[in-house]
Amino acid sequence: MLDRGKISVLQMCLSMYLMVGATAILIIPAITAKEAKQDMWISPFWGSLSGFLAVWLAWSLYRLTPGKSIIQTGEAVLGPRLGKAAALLYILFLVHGAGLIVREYGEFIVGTILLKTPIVVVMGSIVLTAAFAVRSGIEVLGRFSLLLGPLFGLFLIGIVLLLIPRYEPTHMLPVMENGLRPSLAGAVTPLTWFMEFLFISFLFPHLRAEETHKALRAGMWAVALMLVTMVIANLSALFLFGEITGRMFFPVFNASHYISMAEFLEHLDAMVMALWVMGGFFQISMWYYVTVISVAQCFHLSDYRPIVYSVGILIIVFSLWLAPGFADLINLFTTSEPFYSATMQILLPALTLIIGLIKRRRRPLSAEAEKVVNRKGNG
Amino acid sequence: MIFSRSWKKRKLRSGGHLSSLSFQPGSDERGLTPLSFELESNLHILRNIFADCTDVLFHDFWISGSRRAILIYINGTANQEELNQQVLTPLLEGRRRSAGSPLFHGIIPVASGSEIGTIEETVRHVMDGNPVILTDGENTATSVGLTKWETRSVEEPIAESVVRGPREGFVETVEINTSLLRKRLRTPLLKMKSYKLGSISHTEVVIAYLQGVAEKALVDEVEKRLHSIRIDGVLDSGDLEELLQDNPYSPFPQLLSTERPDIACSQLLEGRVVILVEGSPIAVVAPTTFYSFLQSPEDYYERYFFGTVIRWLRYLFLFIALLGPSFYVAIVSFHQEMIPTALLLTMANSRELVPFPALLEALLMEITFEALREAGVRLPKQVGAAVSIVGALVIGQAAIEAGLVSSPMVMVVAITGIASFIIPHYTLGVAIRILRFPIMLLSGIFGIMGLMLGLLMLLTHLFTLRSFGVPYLSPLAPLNLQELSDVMARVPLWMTDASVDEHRGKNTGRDQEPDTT
Repeated sequence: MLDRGKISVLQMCLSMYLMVGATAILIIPAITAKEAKQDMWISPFWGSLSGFLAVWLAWSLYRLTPGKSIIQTGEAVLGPRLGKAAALLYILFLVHGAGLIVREYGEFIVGTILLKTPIVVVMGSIVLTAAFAVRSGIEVLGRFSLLLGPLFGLFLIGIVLLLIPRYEPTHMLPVMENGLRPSLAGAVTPLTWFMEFLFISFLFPHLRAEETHKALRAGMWAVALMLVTMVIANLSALFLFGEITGRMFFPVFNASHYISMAEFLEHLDAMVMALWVMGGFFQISMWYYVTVISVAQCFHLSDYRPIVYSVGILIIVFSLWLAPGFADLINLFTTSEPFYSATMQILLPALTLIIGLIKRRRRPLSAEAEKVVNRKGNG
Repeated sequence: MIFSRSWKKRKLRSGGHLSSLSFQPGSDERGLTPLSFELESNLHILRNIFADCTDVLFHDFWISGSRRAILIYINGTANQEELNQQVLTPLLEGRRRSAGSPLFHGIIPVASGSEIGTIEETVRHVMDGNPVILTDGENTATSVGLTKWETRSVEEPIAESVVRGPREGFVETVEINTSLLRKRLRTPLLKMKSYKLGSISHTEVVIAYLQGVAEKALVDEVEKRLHSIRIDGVLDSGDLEELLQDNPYSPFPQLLSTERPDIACSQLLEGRVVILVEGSPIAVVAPTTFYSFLQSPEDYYERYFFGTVIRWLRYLFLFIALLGPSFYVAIVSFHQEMIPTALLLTMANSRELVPFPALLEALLMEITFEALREAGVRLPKQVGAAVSIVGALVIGQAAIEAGLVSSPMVMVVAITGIASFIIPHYTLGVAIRILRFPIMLLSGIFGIMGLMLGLLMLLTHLFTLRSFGVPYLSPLAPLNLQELSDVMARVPLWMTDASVDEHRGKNTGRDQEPDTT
């Protein structure tokens, strides 16, 4: 195995939560609000379905070929050629995904605090910081998750609690004025986000053997936790801003402007941003790590550390190529991104699973495929 | 137990350069010279070896007036009075002994002494300070254990003082130090193994551990690392610390150093290994964790409420010591809106005259402060007070009036300076002091975000760091809730198992009497 580190089930759960969660709270409420209006808090419920499905897919694939990530499973099930092609597609998607998240953070920081700093500098420094964590391996990332997960959760609860005096719960009425349609339309972006839980597949092999049986449940818990967080974030944005949420870029961050307690807990933007940087750092590190591991597994490298910095540069380049501006980025999320994500994160693994199951029914996983994986999988 | 790869790499790099002067005992195959029956030929070789060593004295005398003998000792290290009374007098006046009888033990009333058979051993014994007697017609020499090196008496430790607790500190003599440990732990389970390190210095190094409490793998690893050290001289435990640590590139101390026997003993009870070095009043302890550096023995001697509160105060000030100026620089240069309006006006008023950006101002003050502190350490005690008054009051006040720095900055720097003294162990304090500067630069460039990035890089490093295989941040990461209670609070002794430790995992019962096997 490339990285011999072991993590606990709790670390896996929190890692996945942070890997998906930090940006989800940052920009999803606004995108959801555009379509769903006052029903925006219902959308995450529909969205989470894809999360549960993705975790189940990842787990089924893992059961099919224990000890392997989706990259290696693809090779074992589809054969060397087709498997490699699928792996390359995944790598392309992962670099794109990591670039997206880096860009989101870059836009967030450049748009709110460091107004005059070039975005490349901001993104470069975050990616460099993440590169150190990636080089340290999954064990260090697991420890970070245990530290940052609770911190991030507390910080969100803190924002919500401090804002309670300003809430207007009547903003959510009338519930489902136009039936289910708006909330379903608003669910498209959350659906895309929740699909990312597929990458839990890269964490399963690192679980301690005695805890592996809890993996599926822990993955589902991560999705559930994410669902609750998203509902709370959407509700607080809705209670505070009502329908204008859709016209903002970062509603929950903007909400923190309105915190005012005891005359001195005011203007906490910088602190809120600091905590978001922590969440973002971890999220980027996870995506970055998964990307690097995919590349290493696809090309059967013996060590993943030497390619960390080069992949980092690739991620920064992709983040610049994605879209000319933040508005175009949002446009991407609402148009082509859902289809791209669905193809890569649901369709492709589902196909792999079906083929794998059929193959196994005919005969146990073909001997040569098994051999290929054993020989080249380094593990 | 997993030991760091980087350490192994370095061990290979420092390939041996054993000096030809090496006289390691127990290696006969290296061609040791046996002593001759003729005194003259022995004397010839020894005089050659000790040529130009005026402090090595050769005393010629006749045993009972009939047999020629030579007493070799180093001027000033042997107890001359005892030597005269207990060795020379009985020999000179004693009854005539039959030739060939090698032992003087019946005649010389001393507690320790030994027979030696080679030139190399003779040299070794003389260099260790033992007077050696060579007799004509015998191929063995007698070493008399009458060493008396100049030594300081046991005094109060200076760098780690406590209000309540023992006043004894380690001294420069390793025998006294081991006796200080033995005094507190009177059990045969306390093992002490002695080594000679340094191809020229031949420094005595003692490792002490509690059998059955310290993990055997740990003791073996410490011995292995000690054996692989190739160095010409060990002058202080600091030399050894640098060669034993896991990650040579880390700013953080990976071995706990202490001059207090009570700390060393509490570490022994927790299953750690204490390393004592001849000539050093500082013992090093392996392995250690980050938070051991934030503990003072007093936490345990005082009431536990107090201990808990003080611990939290230390954690808070640890962050201030590390991030204080960075936070100030970030807020003043990027996030002024965070400052309450009234305060902002005062600060703006004070900063109005200052021509520099906050970062430069902070660097200026911090560097000056560090220089003052470093100068204060080197200063003679009589001048110290004067300089601190000039430095702290006059320079600070004058700098504000001259418009070089603003008064809030002086305050921030002062608080940071005090905060870095609250860390009970000096070595960690130094690491924090140094790390303050890169984080300050980052927050001068990126504001709070830079501060966070610096902190995250630091955390990444701390998460990977290990000390003899034990994760540096344990029990915080990897998380161990049971042991974390000791980090969060000073748990009353009656509530603890009193011997739970991260690298043993299980309680081996410090409460119960260990078997004396």
